[in-house]
Amino acid sequence: MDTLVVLLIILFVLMVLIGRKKGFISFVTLFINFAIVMVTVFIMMDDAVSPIFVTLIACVCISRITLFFINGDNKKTRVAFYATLMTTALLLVIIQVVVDWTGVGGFSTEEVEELAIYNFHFGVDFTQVVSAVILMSTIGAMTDEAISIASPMYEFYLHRPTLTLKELVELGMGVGKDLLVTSANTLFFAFFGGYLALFVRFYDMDYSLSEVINAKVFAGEVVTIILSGTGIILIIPMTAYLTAFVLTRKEKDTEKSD
Amino acid sequence: MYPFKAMRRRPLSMLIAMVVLAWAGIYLMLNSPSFYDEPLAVIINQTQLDQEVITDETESVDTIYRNEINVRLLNTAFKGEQLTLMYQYSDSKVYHDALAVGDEVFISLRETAEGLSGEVVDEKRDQPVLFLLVAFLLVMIVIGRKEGLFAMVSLALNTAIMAMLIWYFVANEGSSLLALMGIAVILMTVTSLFFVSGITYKTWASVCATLLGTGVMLLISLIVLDATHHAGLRFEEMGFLTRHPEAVFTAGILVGALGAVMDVAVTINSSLFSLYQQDPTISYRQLRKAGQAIGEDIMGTMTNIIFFAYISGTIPTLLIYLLNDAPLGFVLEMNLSLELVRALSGGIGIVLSIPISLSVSLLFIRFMRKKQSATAHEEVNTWTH
Repeated sequence: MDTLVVLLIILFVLMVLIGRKKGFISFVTLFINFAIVMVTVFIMMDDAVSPIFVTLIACVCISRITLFFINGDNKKTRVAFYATLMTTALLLVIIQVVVDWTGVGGFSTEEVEELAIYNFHFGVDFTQVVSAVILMSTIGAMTDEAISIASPMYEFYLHRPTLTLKELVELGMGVGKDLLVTSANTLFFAFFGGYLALFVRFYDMDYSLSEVINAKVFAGEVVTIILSGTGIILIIPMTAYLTAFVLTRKEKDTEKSD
Repeated sequence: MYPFKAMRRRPLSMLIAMVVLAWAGIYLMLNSPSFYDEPLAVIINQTQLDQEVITDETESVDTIYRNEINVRLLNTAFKGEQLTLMYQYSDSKVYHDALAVGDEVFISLRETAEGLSGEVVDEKRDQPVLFLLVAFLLVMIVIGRKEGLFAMVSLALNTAIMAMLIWYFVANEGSSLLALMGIAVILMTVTSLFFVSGITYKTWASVCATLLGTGVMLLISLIVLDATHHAGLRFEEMGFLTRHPEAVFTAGILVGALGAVMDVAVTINSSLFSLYQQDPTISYRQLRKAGQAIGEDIMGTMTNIIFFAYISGTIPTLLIYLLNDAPLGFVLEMNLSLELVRALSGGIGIVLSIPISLSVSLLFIRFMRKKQSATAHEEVNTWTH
């Protein structure tokens, strides 16, 4: 049998056994997200459409589906969704500036060698594609952090409705700080595992230190890690302030109506 | 005396000052062309020779520009000499960027009968990358304070561990990359977790759960890969290969899932231990229930994180294949199959770590409770005697 099919079945069985209903929903969400990525790639093929714009729309869909499917449609997920959206927009600007400045857009020498038989000139801007990839590789982590910060803030506020905006923000920032380290670790190791072959190659092909750090593929990897890290840092204050603002504002509204 | 006093009073600002100083030093060093062995040159003039418009049936889709650039060498024996190079780039920026006068580039240098000639090899990227790295480090320290600093230190340590073991693998023929990465995983788990949360029972529980989780995941992946004879996988299409692909690939699965498994283990352990500390009489059934609920909550988003981190990297190559009208099935098999195996294995690791972490935490809490009741017993005994 096909390796992928067997692994897929194992993952499905484990998710349903261990996560029950939520596990099943999570599995379906993974499938939908995969479909979104594929559709995004197909739309990107049209050179009249900006790859950045398509990815932004895709990220909105991904974040919305992940949050509302897995965690349900409620105030918490709505705040987390808007926080993710705002951070995504901000991060996108930073990504484009940085990718342009460091010149890591497009394919590297190593990759071009492997794709030598293909034609590259279709008018699709590959610097934008690289920016889009960086954004997409961190959208999962940002969404996760947003809900993990917004959720305990809501719970705390339910127990102690006298909390002020400042106290709530501090609480959210504290939760975020704990998450930051583990999220950074998760992404770091995922990238490292994916590029293991590249690091072996650097040794095998006797790259000098300056060749390694100036190579587009290595600089691109470092830039991706830094930009994903920036995303998971930015989402912390964004979610903390937005959640605190929504919680305390709502209180004022009810006071008025009283 | 004064600086030490200041350091004790304001460790954060002192640390930031030190980081900035170190950065400035390295930045200046990278600014001197003699630091590099490779020929480095600065662009002093650029003229466009011609441009080719590529059309697709009716509409124009891309433009290729052929430029002549004059550069001045900044290092090597020919320092100060000028030469003319050909440089080609396109609007789609697939490979080369447009260059500007004043940009520094690495070039390949050849001495011929007619004089010096060469080609642009790469742009100089180290200074902007270093600048970003330091800016990121500072933001981590300012926002994450002690934890942020420790996280960066443990990332640096982990990078060093990986670099050393890969170096050992390349230097010693016949060594197994998978075994070496197994050692790396143990070392990196220990440094990451102890650095972040100190030597406590909780950390030990997280270390045990992480190692068990990654171990079981690797075992399952290896068994499946072996039993299915890699049906549907294209190892030869793996990027950057210089070695036997399968060995590098399985080692990559192991390292790639480590962060996510660690995340799950820490999340579940921290919550259960804090529940136990709040109420030391809490029953195992309640703890198990709480752990199960947390596990259900994090399962979906954690698998999503891993999924996007792996899959999005394939988008540029997918695009090139699809634009060249390759059949969809072929494109997916060539480009996605390996990344999907990584993502699925990582997902299996994440999901399995939930019951594993839960059981390990309960075991540790049971042990702590026993020890506590034993010391309580002793105290009672000494009192009565």
